[in-house]
Amino acid sequence: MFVCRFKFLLAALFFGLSLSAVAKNISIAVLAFSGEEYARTSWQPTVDYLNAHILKHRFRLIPIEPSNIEYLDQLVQQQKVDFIITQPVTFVELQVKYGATSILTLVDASKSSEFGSVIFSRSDSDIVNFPHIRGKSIAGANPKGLGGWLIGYNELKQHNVDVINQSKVSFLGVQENIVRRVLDGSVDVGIVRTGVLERLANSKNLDLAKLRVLNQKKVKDFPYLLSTSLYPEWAFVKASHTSKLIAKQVASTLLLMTPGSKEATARGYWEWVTPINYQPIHDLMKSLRVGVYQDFGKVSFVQYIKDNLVLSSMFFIVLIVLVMTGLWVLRLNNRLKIINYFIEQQNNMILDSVSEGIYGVDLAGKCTFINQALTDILGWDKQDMLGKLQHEILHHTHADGTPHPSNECPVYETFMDGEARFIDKDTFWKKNGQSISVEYSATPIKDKLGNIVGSVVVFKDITQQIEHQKLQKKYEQDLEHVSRLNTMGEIVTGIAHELNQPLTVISTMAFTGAGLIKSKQYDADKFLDIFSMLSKQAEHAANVIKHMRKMSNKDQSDYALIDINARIKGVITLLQALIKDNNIQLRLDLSQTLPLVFAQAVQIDQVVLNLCKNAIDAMDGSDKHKVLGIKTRCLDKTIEVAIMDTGNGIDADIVEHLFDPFSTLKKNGMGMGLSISRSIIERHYGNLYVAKSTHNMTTFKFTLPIKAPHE
Amino acid sequence: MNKATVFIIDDDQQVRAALSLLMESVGWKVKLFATAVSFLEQFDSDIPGCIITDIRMPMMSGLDLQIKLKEYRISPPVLMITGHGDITMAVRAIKEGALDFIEKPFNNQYLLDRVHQAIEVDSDNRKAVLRVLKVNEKYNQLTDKEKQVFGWIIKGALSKQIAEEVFVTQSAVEARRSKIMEKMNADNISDLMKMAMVMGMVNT
Repeated sequence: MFVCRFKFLLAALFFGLSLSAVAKNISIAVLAFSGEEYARTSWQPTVDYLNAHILKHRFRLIPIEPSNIEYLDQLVQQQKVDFIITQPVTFVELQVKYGATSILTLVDASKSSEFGSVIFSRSDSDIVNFPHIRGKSIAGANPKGLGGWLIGYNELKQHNVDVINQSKVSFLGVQENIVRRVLDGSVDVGIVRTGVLERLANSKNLDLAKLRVLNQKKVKDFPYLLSTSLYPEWAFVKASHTSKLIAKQVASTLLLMTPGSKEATARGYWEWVTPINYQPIHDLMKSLRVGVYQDFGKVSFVQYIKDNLVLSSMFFIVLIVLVMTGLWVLRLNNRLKIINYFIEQQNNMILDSVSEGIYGVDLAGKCTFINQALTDILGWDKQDMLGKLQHEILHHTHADGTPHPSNECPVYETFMDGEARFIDKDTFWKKNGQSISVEYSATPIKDKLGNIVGSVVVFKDITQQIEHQKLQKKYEQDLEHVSRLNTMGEIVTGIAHELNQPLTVISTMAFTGAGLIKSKQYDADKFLDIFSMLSKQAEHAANVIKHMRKMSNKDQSDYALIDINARIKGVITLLQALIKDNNIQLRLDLSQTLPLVFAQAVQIDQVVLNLCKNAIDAMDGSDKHKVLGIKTRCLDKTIEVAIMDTGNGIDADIVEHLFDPFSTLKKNGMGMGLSISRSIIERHYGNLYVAKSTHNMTTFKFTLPIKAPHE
Repeated sequence: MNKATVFIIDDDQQVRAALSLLMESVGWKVKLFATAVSFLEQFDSDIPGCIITDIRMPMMSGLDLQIKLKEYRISPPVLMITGHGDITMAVRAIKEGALDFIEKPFNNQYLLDRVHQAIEVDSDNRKAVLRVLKVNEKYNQLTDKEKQVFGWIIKGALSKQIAEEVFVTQSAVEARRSKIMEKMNADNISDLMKMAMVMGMVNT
């Protein structure tokens, strides 16, 4: 092959240089039904004839077996073959696919340029006409053979006999086998090319009387038995690229060939004639959907369906399923759109129906959405907010009027660090220029990939809440104050007594001093005694008054580091007289290593005073030895103050209500003392409780944390 | 007079010191006690003077002390001082024989006056007690028959009536009467009556 092509190239080069009219190697492909070897020997004389008569070109034979028909297609497509000698079906294919044209039609040995099929049964069978073939067995040569099958099959179809579906079909290859099988009765009906029966009758002593030709036709000048229409014989075909000049030369040369010459008979044909109409082949192929017309059928859709009922019904089912699926998807899509719309509506409705203000912020700090509550609370509407920097609109200034820089804005910090946060008190500014107190949460918004795309803020107007808290706190303060005053009222006689002592001493000293001067007794030591006592007593009186005033003061004291022991001693100054008057022994056991605690001094005093006063009252009228004990000690993380008395104790069923407001065991008690004391201690993150009685002493204890949580 | 002592009982050391200075400045002798109990432990009823005591004190109150002092035939008058204007307590103190009930802080001159007065009262009391002792001594010298007549005399009975009551003659009564007058050192019936009163035989 390579050598061949090489030669061709050399030749082409040579002729290309010397001649303007290009001399060529002309390839003639021939369909080799009976094998390559037979094709070569039978057709070579025809090619030689051409070479002998057309000197300018060299003609070359390429035999191609039907099994290798794709190779032919390839050669034509790649323009490597110039002419093709082939049977009509192949020609039609090449015509339709590659625009090949027939330049000649073969006339066979019987001098006919047309042929058809003979459909026959055994003469003694009951198959007399086409309809009888239904349900019987029928044999052809091969499914693609024209005379040996297709033409007959098509003819039967035209007569509404569909042997493929209605009969048992077999293909037997060699046409003689068909005749033999019909004769031996193993096949009911046979289809063979016209002329086969006559040839067998001549050479193999076939008795034609033993066969019955069905649907026998008589055509003028057609010498053979015939059951079908006639179709054109083999064609000499020109590929579309082959020059018309060469085609003309070839056609004219072959037309001039002597009929029945040795070149023709070598292949068993008579001569070549001008091409006849190949349309019947086209029609037949369309009807049977053969080759290029395999997909043909748009014009006879119903027929196709009839022919391929199973396939087409399956196709239709699939089609219907597809269409319905499509419709369903469309409907689903539509419903999704509607649902989406509703969800959006619903989202908006939900957003708008919550009482908290909600807005979204993108990474640029611009507002992406707001809800109705935001407008209701702040007055800003969508026009004011959407696409604008939220911080500049509602978050620009602190409550005290100092500017709030946007880089400190928790809303922005949220999408910076991706951490959700809750701010319990902040200031938002309303459209009318007023500010409100708000608490809010800022949560990062993430897209499907988890990237932060902004944050959403949910806020609540807590202005009223804060007002309420203030009121509540004021109320509590007032109550504490009233309770304090109440306790002070209860001990006021004691306090008066406590003041009487220093006043008595002062007045006596002063009087004595004056008397000494009057009587001219100038004893310096005595005067020193007198004056030092005077100042000491005045200080003591001032101290009592200071404590008293502190306890009566309405304002809460500030948190500071306080010495609990000192506070207890201070309270004792107020109670000293009461303790004395009630014949009570005071036992102080104060730890010398007590750390300072962070607390409100007066409030702690109030608790100590309350507990001591309760202890004193509890011992009123008791015949026992009266002891008021106060003990302080340092525990792990707290300091503990214990206040003990030897009173009658507390009944178990009262203990649990002891700290309830307005519960009292005293005639004139308000019932607030313990309740308030406990709330004061709890406010300091400590505990106040009744401890188990030890040594017949009722003990109240309270603790205060050493390291205050505020710090 | 200067031998009289002011006893100061107060649990408040400052008050004790102040009162002590005050009393000394006017010349009284002073004795200080922190509690009524310690005062009682050292009590000598023969020492004249007066007691200034606080009412409310641990262990023993001023009132209790006052009651305890009654067990003695003679004791210095008591001046109660208190920081409380407690009326019931004041009434109780006076009923139990306190000379006065003085509220702190007191008028110092008033207190000095009351102390002075109390010491006079104590002095008078002590004289009265002495007179009773003397009368009793004379009375105890009388015989039983004379004491019998003495009893009738102070009831205001005449000699004739006495004679009928004690079943002796009128002249025997007259003799015992003159003996009584002599032993009792009395000039007349009126003197006898006074003596009887000192001895508590007659209700005034």
